[in-house]
Amino acid sequence: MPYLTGYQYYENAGAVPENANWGSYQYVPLKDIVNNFMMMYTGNNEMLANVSRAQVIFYAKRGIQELNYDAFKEIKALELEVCDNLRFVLPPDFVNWIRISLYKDGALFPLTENIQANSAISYLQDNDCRILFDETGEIIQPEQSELDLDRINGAARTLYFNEGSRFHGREGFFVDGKFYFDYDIGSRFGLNSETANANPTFRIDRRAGVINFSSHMAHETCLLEYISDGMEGGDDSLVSVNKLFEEYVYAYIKYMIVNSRVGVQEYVVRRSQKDKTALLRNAKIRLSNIHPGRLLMNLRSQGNIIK
Amino acid sequence: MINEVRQTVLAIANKNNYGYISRLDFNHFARQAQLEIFKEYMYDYNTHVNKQNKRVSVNQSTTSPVASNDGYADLAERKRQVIEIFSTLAPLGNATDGHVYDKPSDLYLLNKLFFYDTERVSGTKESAVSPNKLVDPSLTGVSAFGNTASAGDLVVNTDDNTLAFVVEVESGTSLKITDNIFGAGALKYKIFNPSKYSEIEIQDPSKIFNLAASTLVNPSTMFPSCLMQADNIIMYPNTITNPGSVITQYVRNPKDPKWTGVTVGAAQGQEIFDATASDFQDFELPKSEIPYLISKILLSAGMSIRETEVTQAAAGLVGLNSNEDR
Repeated sequence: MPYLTGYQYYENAGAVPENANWGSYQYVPLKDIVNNFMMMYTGNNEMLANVSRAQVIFYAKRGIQELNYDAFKEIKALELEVCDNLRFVLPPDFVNWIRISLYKDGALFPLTENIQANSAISYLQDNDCRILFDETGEIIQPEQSELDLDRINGAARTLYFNEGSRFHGREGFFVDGKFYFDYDIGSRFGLNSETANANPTFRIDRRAGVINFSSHMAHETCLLEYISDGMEGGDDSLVSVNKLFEEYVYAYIKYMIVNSRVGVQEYVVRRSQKDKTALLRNAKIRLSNIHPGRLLMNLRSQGNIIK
Repeated sequence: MINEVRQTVLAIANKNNYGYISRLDFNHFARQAQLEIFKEYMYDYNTHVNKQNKRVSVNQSTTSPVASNDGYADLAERKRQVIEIFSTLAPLGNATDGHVYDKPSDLYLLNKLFFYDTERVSGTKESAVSPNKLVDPSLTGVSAFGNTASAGDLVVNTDDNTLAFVVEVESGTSLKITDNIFGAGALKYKIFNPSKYSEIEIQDPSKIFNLAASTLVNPSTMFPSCLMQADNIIMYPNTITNPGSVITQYVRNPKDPKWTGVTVGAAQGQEIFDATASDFQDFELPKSEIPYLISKILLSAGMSIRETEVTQAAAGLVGLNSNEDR
């Protein structure tokens, strides 16, 4: 008997959403991982006895989180318009970003992370620069700092060679077929490639949970590519792991349990650790999917002469 | 079995009518002996499993370590099967409809708990008794058994906390079930999908509050937990409240043995064994435990009648029987 009939797979047996089972065979749900581990790795005659299921769930989830951080290639993407406040609120399952792009004129322009702070909190001060407090002794803060206000109003200048650059619009002079500018821009030490980008810039304020953009991003469409931890917002029924990593997750749980137990011989711990490491390596190689068809397009340009 | 034991005990102890053991005394001694042997099963099972894991011989016929003990040499398996004579599958009562359930009254050891979260249909059966059937004439349309139940489904009598499985859907209003769990009266029932369940983990009291506060291992209906407390079992999460939805597999206490008889020949006061008495209860241990039961009862009887020889002989037999299983 199949796990799912064709009707269940393609049309979710008439239920909504229709695509609920598409591609599901690639994954093993958390419930199966935990149940399989309890059944096959623990018991009176196994290496692990008296293991609580909560322990197994904990380590299974931790293993899946670690895989999501650096082994899975499961990148999520969220598109939102950036409004006047130049802020993009991070998605609820955000852990780290991969790439942030401007979507304009049908093309994606990868944006550069600003090397300078572009947002700050501020304290209100009097004429003598003394900090002001309210009646409860708390520091009084303005809604936005001057840095933020200038950025939002378009008054802030940047190091980058976009429209916010303090050199934007500055005239140079043309001599012997070449443009020269004043000493300010690269004439002595060459162009600073770190800031040579015409696109808007951004900086992530992790504590505030937002991405702050430079002023030219207002009313533009932003695409955030990011990774999550695979915990699906706490809904255990949605947590799953790619089958290529299933054996690794069992090895990870086993290692973490023996590693934290009293009285387990060191050679047992080492053996479990080696199992885990080897299986992770194998799974990564499998998932990388290196095959001739993928290399073909790249190799076609191998005959190009580099000028 | 209980009469065999009693006759043998009387035959050994009764010298010149000096060692006659009354029915009442015998029942006390029998209960004591059965409980002692029953309690030893858990320790014996543990001993055998430990020996297996240490690769030590548990086969009495060999003295050298053996690689494995399969088949008849698997004493751990034998002990497990004896313990499973007392294994019971039953729904937990839930008088308050809250997330606090009641422990079974005959509980010795709670082994597993399961939460069945998919209720197919519920109702009240007809008052008339239909052996091994569940009949509910009120069901029509989409709620009829033909649309809601199928063979293998779990049927729970939520009034008596008993369960059975569906053998066959006979009609829209009648099911054939594996056990005769419905007596007379309008008893309530529920039918659950047998494949949609989660095991409820019995938690250490020192851990349950940490679990409840954790984001990663917070109990959910997929991974529920429980805390045992006095006569109750508290479910986590507290959304587990459906009466009949929590099924337990536990080891019950053995029933108290009771030798029953009728007295004939009033002058002689002779007692004849009567197994048809309503309060008759045989031993529940396997027949192979008869020698052990006899020796343990004799030990008690010997002390009762102050017969040193009986006591000493019985103590020797008890030791012998006890060692054989280890």
